[in-house]
Amino acid sequence: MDTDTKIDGLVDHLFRHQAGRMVSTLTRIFGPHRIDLAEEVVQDALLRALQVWPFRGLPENPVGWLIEVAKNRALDALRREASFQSKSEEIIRAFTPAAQRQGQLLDDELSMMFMACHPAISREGRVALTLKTVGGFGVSEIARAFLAREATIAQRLVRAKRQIRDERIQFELPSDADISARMDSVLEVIYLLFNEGYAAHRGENLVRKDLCQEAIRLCEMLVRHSATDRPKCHALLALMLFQAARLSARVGEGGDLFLLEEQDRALWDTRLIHRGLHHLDCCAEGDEMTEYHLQAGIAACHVAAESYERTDWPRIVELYDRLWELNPSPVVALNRAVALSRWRGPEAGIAAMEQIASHPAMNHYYLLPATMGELWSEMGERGKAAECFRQALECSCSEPERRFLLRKLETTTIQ
Amino acid sequence: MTASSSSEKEKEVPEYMLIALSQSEAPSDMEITPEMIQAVIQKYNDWAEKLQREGRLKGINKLCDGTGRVLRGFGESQVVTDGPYAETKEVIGGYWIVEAANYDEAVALSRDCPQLEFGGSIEVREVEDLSKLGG
Repeated sequence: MDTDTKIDGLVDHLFRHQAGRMVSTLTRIFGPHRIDLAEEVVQDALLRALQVWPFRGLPENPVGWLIEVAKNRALDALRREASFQSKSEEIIRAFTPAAQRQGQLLDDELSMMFMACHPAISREGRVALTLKTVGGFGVSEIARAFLAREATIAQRLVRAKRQIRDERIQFELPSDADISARMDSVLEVIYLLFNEGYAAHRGENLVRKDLCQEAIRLCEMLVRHSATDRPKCHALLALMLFQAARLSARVGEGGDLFLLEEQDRALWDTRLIHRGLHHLDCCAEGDEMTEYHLQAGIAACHVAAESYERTDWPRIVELYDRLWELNPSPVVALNRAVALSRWRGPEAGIAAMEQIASHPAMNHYYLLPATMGELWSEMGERGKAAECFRQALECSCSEPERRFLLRKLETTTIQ
Repeated sequence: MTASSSSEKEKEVPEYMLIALSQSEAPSDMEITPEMIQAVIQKYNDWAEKLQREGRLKGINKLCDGTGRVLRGFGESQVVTDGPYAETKEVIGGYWIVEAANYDEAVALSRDCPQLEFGGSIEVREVEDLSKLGG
């Protein structure tokens, strides 16, 4: 090693992302039925770096190094096969730094994503396989992110790969005719990843924060390619960027949740907000109106507001009305009722909430009584407020949410 | 790279070889994820970079994995076996050569080497300065 060379650190998640790229390309060449072999070859290449780099320092071009090693491992893996001649040419062509920079790479990653998110695979299987192959996550990391057992995740992966073989799912970008429907399945997986990371975002579990980042990265890949660049992808991307912008203001030092109302808006990430606004513009093209569009519109109202009080509540209520037309769920109704209470006062909000209280989905859903408690205490009805917070505490919720409710209950019962 | 690179300097700072030893077999079937690999490499890199910034790192080398020969005996009873693996559980992965005033300092430099964090060990040996003995 030349000890005078300046040593730089590695780009965040370089190994994960590079693993995803190489597994995608190798799956194209080996065939969809041999994802396992593609993963093995890539893992070998990464382990080689682990053995060598501590004793030689980082190579000048870490990605180029990994590509070269993976290429040789891939050639070794196929050497005894009849198709070696044709496949080896493909491998050598694909695994050059120049080829890796060109469009084929993105084609491969997106084809992998569409294959992993094929509607024939169970939703859980799609999520796990996408994270494992395109995302470069390990089984243990996926298990931690979804609070599942490793064996469960491993099983889902095996099943998903078997479905790919049995159903003869192809490694390709869907045709123009199919892409819109197939895209819905991909976007669903991406949004699921994001929500899983967002819902329980806590400092002690970094891998869950990674989910939000990964969801955004996958969606950015979609909008970068002309075949997959659809307005609804921009809509989802905008939505996730707006929500991600508020992530750090959402949780306090001790892991306590802060409501939108309580958040320090100076902590919002303006860089992410600007990126979100750009994609919000892009999603306005075309005439398809998806839930992602409306939710992104609502999130945009929030991030554009100077303060909670000066939020454009009438506009938000209108967007929720339109969202209700697409998805008449009680959760949408609850959120609409909150917005309505900010616009027309707490009585209006409570009246709207009482209409959905009997819905079976609202049974044991802590947010409904928690929100009603808020509104009652605004009206000075402390007894009713306390009753609601007690009801909310009987529902299942996360530890920070519990602490939040206890705090609220305390303030309503203090004389 | 040579072990005794003190040719240009007259101040004769002692050099120590930090020998990295690891278990010859992977300890468990624990999954090694890409993210973990990157984190480990980054740690080694940060450690070596610090030594280098302090001007202490004089050499570094990796030995080939899974190869090696061991010779024992002389004449007719001589036996050559593959690798050191059959005889010992720990194999040398590589080594660093650093400048340090004495063993205490060399040990102090080694304490936060990632090798130790990941189950390996480090043997610290002073490189003898033979020029002094000759003169």
